[in-house]
Amino acid sequence: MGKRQASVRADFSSFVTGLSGHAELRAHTNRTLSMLYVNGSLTENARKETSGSSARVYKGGRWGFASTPELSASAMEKLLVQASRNCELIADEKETRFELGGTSLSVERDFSTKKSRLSQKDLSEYLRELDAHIAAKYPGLSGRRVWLTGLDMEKNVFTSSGAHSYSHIPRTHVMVMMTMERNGNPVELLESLGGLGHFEDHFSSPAAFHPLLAKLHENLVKKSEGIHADAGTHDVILASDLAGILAHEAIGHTTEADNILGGSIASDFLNREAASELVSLVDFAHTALGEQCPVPVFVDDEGTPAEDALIIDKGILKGYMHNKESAAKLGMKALGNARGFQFHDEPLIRMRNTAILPGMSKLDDMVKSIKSGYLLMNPGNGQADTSGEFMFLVRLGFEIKDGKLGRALRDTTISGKAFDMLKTVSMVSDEMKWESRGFCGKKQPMSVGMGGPALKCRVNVGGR
Amino acid sequence: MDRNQAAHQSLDGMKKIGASEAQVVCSVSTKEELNFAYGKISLLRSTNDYSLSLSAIREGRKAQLGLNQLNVSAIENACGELKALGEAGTPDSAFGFSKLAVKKEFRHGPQEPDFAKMRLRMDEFLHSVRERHPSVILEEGFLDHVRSDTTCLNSHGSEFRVSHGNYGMLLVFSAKSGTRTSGFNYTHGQLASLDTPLLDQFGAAEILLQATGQLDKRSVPGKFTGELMITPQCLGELLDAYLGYLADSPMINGTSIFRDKLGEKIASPLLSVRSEPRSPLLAMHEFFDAEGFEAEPMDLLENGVLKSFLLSLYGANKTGKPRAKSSGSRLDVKAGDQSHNELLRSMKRGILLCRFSGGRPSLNGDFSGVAKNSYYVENGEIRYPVSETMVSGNLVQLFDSVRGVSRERIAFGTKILPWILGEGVTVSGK
Repeated sequence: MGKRQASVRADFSSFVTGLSGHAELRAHTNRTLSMLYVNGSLTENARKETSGSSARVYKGGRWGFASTPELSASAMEKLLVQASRNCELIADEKETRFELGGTSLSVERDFSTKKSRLSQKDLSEYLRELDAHIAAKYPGLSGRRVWLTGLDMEKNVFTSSGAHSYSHIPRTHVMVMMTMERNGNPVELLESLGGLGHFEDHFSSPAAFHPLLAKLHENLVKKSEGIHADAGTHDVILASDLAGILAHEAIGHTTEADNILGGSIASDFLNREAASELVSLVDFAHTALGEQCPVPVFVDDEGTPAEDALIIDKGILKGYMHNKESAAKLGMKALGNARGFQFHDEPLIRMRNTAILPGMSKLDDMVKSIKSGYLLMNPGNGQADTSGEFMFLVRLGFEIKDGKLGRALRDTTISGKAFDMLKTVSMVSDEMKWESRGFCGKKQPMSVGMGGPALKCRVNVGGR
Repeated sequence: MDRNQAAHQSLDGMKKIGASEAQVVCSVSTKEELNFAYGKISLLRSTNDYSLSLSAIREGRKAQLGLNQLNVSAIENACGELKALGEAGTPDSAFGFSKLAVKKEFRHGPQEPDFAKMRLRMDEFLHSVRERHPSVILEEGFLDHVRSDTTCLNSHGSEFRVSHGNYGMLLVFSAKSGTRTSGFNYTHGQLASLDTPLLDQFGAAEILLQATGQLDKRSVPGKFTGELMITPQCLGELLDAYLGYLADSPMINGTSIFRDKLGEKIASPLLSVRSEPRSPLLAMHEFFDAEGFEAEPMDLLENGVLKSFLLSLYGANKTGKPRAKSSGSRLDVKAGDQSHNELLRSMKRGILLCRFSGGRPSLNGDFSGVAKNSYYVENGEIRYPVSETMVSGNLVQLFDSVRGVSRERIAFGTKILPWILGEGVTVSGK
């Protein structure tokens, strides 16, 4: 304790390059920002920085890991010794040993803003002005929350094969939650703006939010007068903001190779029909359809250069997402999906930017094609399991009767079996929407991007 | 600099920047984590970390800064940044810290890891599952030991020094045979010792046994309104959502459905829930809260009557309602007088809910989600494990409808939970 910290950008390659087997060192800093206005009061005004270093070693088919909050050459040396010792403590001579391989490369990517940084006071003023506008413009609300979240992730990775990657990936979101009460029943609705980059890259004037707020309020009023969905299986349109979470929860998780090895049903579908031929799904590394993805990964935390992972091609399941070890076990190629959230977290198989590709249909035509069903939008939390059964929360929806939108819905949850439900997809819209606000939860949280177009399909809808 | 020096230096630094009130929490922690994947030991992970959390109120404005460095220059820089953060705040007379100059020292749980015993328990567990449950794939999990030493000081003279140790366990698994799968299930919790095999912890033996039987699931046909028996593994998350309506955010926002219900009956008289920060039945203790008050036991629900909100000092000052004596993160749900088998046998038609994969319940208590690793029950008998079956209802009505609480309970480390039986839930299949 008390030693002067080296920079996260320092060169620690000499400690690990050329070591036998696979070894990696990571210097890692996370910075978070959180400001929350509740009904005009700034109830949270916080920043946090955690930094440190870790070593991970693969020997004899098992892993050793060690971490410390220190960033120094001596710390790195000690960590490698400790990680190796941990490997030896759990060694088993009968264990199958895989050759993990690796390349020599050096990649540096910095997405921090090039603009002048605003002060905390400037950020607070922005939120206060936004909140004041909501209070003045929508006096019928029973509650309002306006908050800013930011996460900067800065990593410097060195591996025994000579791979080096420095990355600085910030993300920032401003979110607004409006609450309204009708007949003693409170309802709420959330919208957000932001994505890859710092606050200065996304937000100039609170006025840019005004159209979104007007729509949010309009939908909240409709929701407050809304009905419960009719529980059961229905024809639905999943709006483009739901397709991303569908891609992530229903398909993404079932095709992570650790879940495949854990018994995921996706292993029964490899190179077989898993979806309608209208459905193609890719876990993009950093660039999708010519645009920068919300969570770009160029080299992962094992030193693997990141490439797009094609999961479903025109309805056929084509591959999984891997780390080095699962790729070696299954005889496939690792494409850069191994990431750790904090300096003290080991890399796990994580999605990056998982998206269903857009199709040819127009959303209006898709709605018109439904005789009785729902248009569902505004996703909340979700989950899937190894059986491919998924669910996620839907915060807003509308009845569709004879191709026309009707009454709004209260919160509901939709579910289905991914590889059954995807075969019911009969129309795919030509739009594409990305979302990167939340965290994916596994053993650790992780920033992920998810995206897609609107889909017409059949799902199980929770209700009364 | 050790944690006590770092805490004192931080408090002095905050006073120097003009804080009228300040609090610092400084921790040093270590973890040894033995992981398994696909039924074999896969990783040994050793971590150590520091945590320094500074909170200052200056001219009525509050700011918080967190870091994991304990050196002089890092603390000086942090105090400077905290001052700038505070200047961005808005004055609010509701901010504050405990003015009770309590000085206490606590020591709880196993302070050092017994690695040999961790290894023994892990090997024994993996072997037992392999032998008894050949269809089960132990996808991932760990057994760990965490030690944390914490000092909390505030400017009013409050001082807590805590040394806390515990073991912890996570188990994620599924059964698979050919193309049939149970879907994953899990259990987790914290332990004060490794005296008992892991298979006997947190209901692990029972849910592992159930997994193989869940290979052949079917959807409940159609839709009906029925009963819901909730297992301890499943009750924790639903209870957290329910008690969330008593916490700062919905209470300050004025959207809590219980905001005017203190002293009134809000749930079944069979339900009593206490916040027990230092229950001897719990491996994880709570000693002080975020505003420097010692955590004390309190009733939340007594025979269905709301006895306390879960308001911080800030929340209490904002709402004019009483502050909670503890955070509600350590819970004891009182046992009933029937066995869970008797409760099951009393069911007419409904679902034994073993895992709930659902959306966050709405502000009015509405919930819906998938009944995972769960069973259809009719005339007191489990008929079959369900798939693609959803349950929907309202948490307030569900907890009000409870007509049975089991005498058996499971201690998960932070909660002691029974089986409960309620009704009025919509069950829908394909």
